[in-house]
Amino acid sequence: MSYYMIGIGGTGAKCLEAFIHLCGAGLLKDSQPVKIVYVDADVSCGNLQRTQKAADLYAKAQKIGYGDTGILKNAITTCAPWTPVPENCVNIDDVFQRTSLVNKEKYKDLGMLYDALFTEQERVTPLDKGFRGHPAIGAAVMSQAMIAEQSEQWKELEQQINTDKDARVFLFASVFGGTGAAGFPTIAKILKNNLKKDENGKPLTKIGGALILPYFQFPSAPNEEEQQMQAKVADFMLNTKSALDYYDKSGLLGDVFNNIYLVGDNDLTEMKEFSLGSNSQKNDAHFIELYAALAAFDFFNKTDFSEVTTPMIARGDEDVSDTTDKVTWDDIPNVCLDGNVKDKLAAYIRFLYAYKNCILINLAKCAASETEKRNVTWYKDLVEKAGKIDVYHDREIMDAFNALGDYADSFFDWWRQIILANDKRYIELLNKQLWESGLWEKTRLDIYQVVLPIKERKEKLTYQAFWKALCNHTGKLKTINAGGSEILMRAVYEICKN
Amino acid sequence: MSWGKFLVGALVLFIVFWLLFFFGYGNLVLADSVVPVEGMEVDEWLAGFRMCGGISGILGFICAAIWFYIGDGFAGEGGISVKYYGLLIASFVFGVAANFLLIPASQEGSGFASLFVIIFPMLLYYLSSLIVSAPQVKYIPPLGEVIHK
Repeated sequence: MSYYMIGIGGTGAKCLEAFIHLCGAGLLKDSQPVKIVYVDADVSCGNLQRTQKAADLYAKAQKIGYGDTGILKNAITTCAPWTPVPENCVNIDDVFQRTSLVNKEKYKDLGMLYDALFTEQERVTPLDKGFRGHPAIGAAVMSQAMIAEQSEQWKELEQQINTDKDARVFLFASVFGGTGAAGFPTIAKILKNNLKKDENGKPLTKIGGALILPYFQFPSAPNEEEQQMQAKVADFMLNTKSALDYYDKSGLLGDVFNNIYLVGDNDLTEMKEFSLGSNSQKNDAHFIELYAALAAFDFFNKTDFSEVTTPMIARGDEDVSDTTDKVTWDDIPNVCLDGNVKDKLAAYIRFLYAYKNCILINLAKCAASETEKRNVTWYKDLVEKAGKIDVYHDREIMDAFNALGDYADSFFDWWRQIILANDKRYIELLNKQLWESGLWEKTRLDIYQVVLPIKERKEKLTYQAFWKALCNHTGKLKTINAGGSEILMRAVYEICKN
Repeated sequence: MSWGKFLVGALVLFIVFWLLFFFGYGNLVLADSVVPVEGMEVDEWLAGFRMCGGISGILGFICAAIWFYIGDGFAGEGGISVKYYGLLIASFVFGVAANFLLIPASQEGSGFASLFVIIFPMLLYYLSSLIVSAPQVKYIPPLGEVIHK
């Protein structure tokens, strides 16, 4: 069994990024692999590239063993982004071969209809930056791209899903933009047509999806870009209403999806910069994407699909005198079958923090100088003796350790965006002071202070206490069956968990 | 390694070496060879020698306790070896000072008495750091990596 994730458009890519980061905490019920597919006309979109980078770093970090800790247990592989815009087509005129439509007598009526449906600006605007918040263009191109069913990439994916026993597929898409709103039903249709079905005509594979409702806005375009076709905040609500209305009336989603999650925020977060698309479209991560990713975990961990009710999760502060509208750990739904999200995420966050701030720095010292090893007791005991690893002589293993450090950077940068970049809410999940000096790894916060609320208990996990616990961990080695880097990783995780 | 274990271990080392260097060596060897200065009995000299050994041992014990304290709070900061060897030198200086200031004067036959007074604090410090040290710094003393294989 495998998990298949399909992210459509820029927001879809951002939700995938959230999924990758949360997946590391071990929120899935088993260690089956996850396969990621991006669908975007704008393949150079900054959001997509950032997600791709996170997936690459995750895959590299995953190569180190983590034993039975449960963290980074699922392998994540990514497919090359699939664009619905056919090769050699610059704009929608190229896609529909307008010249032929309007010039050939046979198609003249069709050509006139085509001209009536799309404005000249819509027809000639290059699609290299996506559908620019115009789902009508997206839907037209996407439907034309239904030949994608014949493309090797989709064929291969469908084959994998069909041969995969108990595979689960999950889609992320925004409903207020262009690519996501158009792509969600189109991909659903492709899946419906090509996946194995039961006697009722419903795909045997369980399919879920998260539709992201408006949650951000951006400033208007600068003068030089004002005249170009672009996504407009004013259209978000109308786009959303129209798309949901269309999905409902077409009845398309019900035939395909086992579960659909709708996630949004009434207070739209202000993005700092306007972007038409491409690599400048690099929006900060948002807690709504975290919720969307949790929806995917909820779906993947589900054992019973017979429920037909529509649960609704909303929130509001009980204390009305508190004017700060905040999101705390209590607002995060538990989507785990064993344990809970908060504990798993908190342990994972502390683990990566301790790893980057303490373990990796000292591993690097040991790799640089053999005499330094004497000063790092835990290295000699857990890495060299028990794990039979020597970072001084084995550069490859040091590269693998560095990869986890790079992943930790990406992970904490993602959190930084969630915590600091959202102006409408106080996200009370991680300590803001982590990023006070600009670089999170320069912070002197103790490990117990990273995750909020800070527990004021007697035995605090300070840097010193962490080091001591790690040096004292040798006594526990007799009871575990592990080797290589697993021993160190397990020890670090165990200490950070408590 | 807790403070309790350290104290017991260091105390055992203290007693063993004090018995060996000052009680055993004093009563079995020096009692027959030492010639104290005029007006001092041999027994009186031996008692002074044992007390001198005890004081130098206490100074070595204090150095060992300071090292344990430093080691227990150590979390990878730089300069730990400097601190270790600094305390080793301090224990040597304490031994030399005890030898000059506290050991009773003798005319001849004091044998290794001065040597034992000088090396006792250093030996006690070194062995404590080797055998009953805080785990964070157990590999820092010479032969630490051999002992804790």
